[in-house]
Amino acid sequence: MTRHAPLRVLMLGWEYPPRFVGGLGKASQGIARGLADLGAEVLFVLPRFRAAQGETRLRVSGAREWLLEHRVSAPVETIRRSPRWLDVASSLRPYARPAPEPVRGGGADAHGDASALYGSDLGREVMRFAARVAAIAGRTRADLVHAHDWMTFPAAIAAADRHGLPLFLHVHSTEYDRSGEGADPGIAAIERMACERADRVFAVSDYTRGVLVSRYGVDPAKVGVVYNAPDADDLPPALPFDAGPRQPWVVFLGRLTFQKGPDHFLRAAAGVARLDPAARFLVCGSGDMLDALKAQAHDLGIAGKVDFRGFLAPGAVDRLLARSSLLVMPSVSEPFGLVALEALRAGTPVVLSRQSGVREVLGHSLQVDFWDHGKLADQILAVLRLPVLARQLVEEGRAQLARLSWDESAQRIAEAYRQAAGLDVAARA
Amino acid sequence: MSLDVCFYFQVHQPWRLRRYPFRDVGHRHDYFDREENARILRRVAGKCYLPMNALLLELIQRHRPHFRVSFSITATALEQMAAFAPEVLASFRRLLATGAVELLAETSHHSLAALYSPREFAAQVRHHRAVCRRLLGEPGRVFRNTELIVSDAVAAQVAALGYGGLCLEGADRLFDWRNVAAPYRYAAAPSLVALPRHYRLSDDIAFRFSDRRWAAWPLGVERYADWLQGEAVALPPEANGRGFLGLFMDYETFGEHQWADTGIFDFMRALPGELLKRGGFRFVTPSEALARVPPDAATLALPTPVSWADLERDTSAWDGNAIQRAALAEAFALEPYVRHHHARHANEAAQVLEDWRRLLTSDHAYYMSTKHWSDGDVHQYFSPFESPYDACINYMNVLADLAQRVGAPAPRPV
Repeated sequence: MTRHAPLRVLMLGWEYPPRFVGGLGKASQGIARGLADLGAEVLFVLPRFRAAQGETRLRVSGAREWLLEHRVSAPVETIRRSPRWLDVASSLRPYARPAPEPVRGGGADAHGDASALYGSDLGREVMRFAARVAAIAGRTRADLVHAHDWMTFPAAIAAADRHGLPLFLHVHSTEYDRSGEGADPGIAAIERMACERADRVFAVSDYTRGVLVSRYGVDPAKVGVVYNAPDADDLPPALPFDAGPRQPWVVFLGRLTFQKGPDHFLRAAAGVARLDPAARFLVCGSGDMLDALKAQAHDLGIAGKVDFRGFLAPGAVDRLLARSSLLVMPSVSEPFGLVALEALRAGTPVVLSRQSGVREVLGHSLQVDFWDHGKLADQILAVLRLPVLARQLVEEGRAQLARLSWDESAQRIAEAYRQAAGLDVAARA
Repeated sequence: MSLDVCFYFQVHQPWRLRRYPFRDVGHRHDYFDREENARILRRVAGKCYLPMNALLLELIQRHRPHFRVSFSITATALEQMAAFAPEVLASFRRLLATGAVELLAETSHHSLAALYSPREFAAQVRHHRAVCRRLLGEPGRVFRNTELIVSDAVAAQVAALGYGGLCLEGADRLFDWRNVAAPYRYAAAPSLVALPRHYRLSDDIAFRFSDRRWAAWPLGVERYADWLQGEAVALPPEANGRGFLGLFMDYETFGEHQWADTGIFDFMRALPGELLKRGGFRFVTPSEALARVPPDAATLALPTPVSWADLERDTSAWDGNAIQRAALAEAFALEPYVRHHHARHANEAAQVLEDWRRLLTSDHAYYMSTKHWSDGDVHQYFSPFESPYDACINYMNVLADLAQRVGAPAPRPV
């Protein structure tokens, strides 16, 4: 098939920089830009976006704004005609993080604030987005739909079904990564059924691919791995590890929830504290485990050595990492683990949970099963007393990350478009 | 035109470390995983040492007095055989009793001492002779250094100890256009004969034999003998019609790296007869090979070390990254403290010295190699650790304890 018009991708997301600074938004942007660079024309739609943002072959727009601009009336009635399983409970918990954190600039903007996106009426928001996207799809003559994470899956299915478009889903995390055995059955059902319906599913790691196959029974042949890549500005050329100005600080950075493993961090910390009196432990983040963690630190006898710093703004994170000796990511389940890239950007070595995706692309790291507190303590002690080890981990790790690129990720996606739907990005570039 | 064929088999087992957490430093001094070391030694004995020794004995008897082989066996391997599988020592003694088998000299602990401490190097060479004499028999006049690591400096040390020959890798970057079968001496020590390994013909057996993607698979003795005859035909004039063919390989090639079902034992059973039948071949021990090298033979200069490891054929498998160099430096920095301690505390001194030497075994540094680590390669195949970094941490923990035992200051940050 030879056409001269570029391949048109209708891409659906829930976050996009600069509106959100979480991992989902950055990854969505990297993928959208990578595909546009390959020659596809990407319309990236998310529920709300302050201003339409244009790059070459890439346009980012809020669904509501797009409809207003194109004078399409919001088709509220389609909600009632949605399949039953789209009726997400309106009491869904916030998505993966406390609502106020990821908003840059904070406060409400003209199109609603973060609590509307991740707040208590998330279910309604998901359905409203589905209705709007279905209307948009009718006007854009897209060749395919590519959707990022479960909030956009109902919209993607509505658009794909109504207009007969191939459906590609991108799973950045599953409900089981976010909630473990406390998974919300409604969200899990959406993820399972959407993956069943999709022509192809992209997982951000082999780890996540395994979760999809084992938890949802997704056909393994249908799931490909597309790794995240660091952005160009994530890896400035020169920020070598330098032991001199660093404090003996060991950092945990993330939500204080069961899945991120802060309790495992504290148990390893107790082992470290007994042998290295100078070590200090910084717990950065907020979440429902905060009080329990403070009590745990007290019980472990290390309350005086653990500093609960609360949620840190991105700039503060970079500054803190640059003064610290080590970042520990002891996640119980981590689809990727962007925080590892942030640490290496600051020249700080990392210990990664073996239950994470990022370890698959970062062999030059210390790795540990999250439950192996003895080994984790040993790794922490070694980095604190062996700068040569820390330096090599940073240098080799950064070199390894530098070989990852969004272009390569986009090429894997383009290859899947071709195989699953016969749609060729490159030939029409 | 004829060829002297010299088989030399390397036998080595390191004392593998147990998982030694930092909290054990200052409290526990048992560094080695006795059960794991015993398990591995017994496995290799059953799959390789015992059946291959029996086969070689059979070949020596069948082709008497023509077939000869040589071994280099580290003291760490000999001590483990004595502890875990004494029947292996007995079978080596039977081989040596034929008179057709020679032992090479080397360091007792398969160490890199030649590169770091001439004093410890000489001490380990003496220790190796003593252990060989006690358990097996006296090594001959030819030396082989750990992993065939040779440089001008190593050759000078070996010559100073009175040896007549030194094995080395027939590396392309060293020999270039020159024929490895020709006679050579070392420029840094002309009294020392160079016995080069023919790496292609050696690795045909050691690495490629079972590789089904290899064009020559399956390799039969006729074809292999043809290749050897080709080498004989290509001999340069300076060889005076008699060349040297060094077939040096790990002994574990037979039965452990190449499993019995690849036909490796049948291949070796048939090879000597095939070569002797064709004529123009003579099996020699390394000491016998020294005789044919004239005093004015061409010389080899090795300003930087050459080894038989990896494609690089240098020492980067052991000192290629910063953590390896730091670990080696720390370990050798303990030498004066270990010796001083040795002089003062006779009762436990032998154990401290032995522990330190076991830590000098090159395998520990090899496990810390990050060459091609992302691709997961041969280094990791041999490593008992999940990653080179875990190997480093464990080793440095042990070293910290040993430093305390001998009263060395805590290692300063590197």
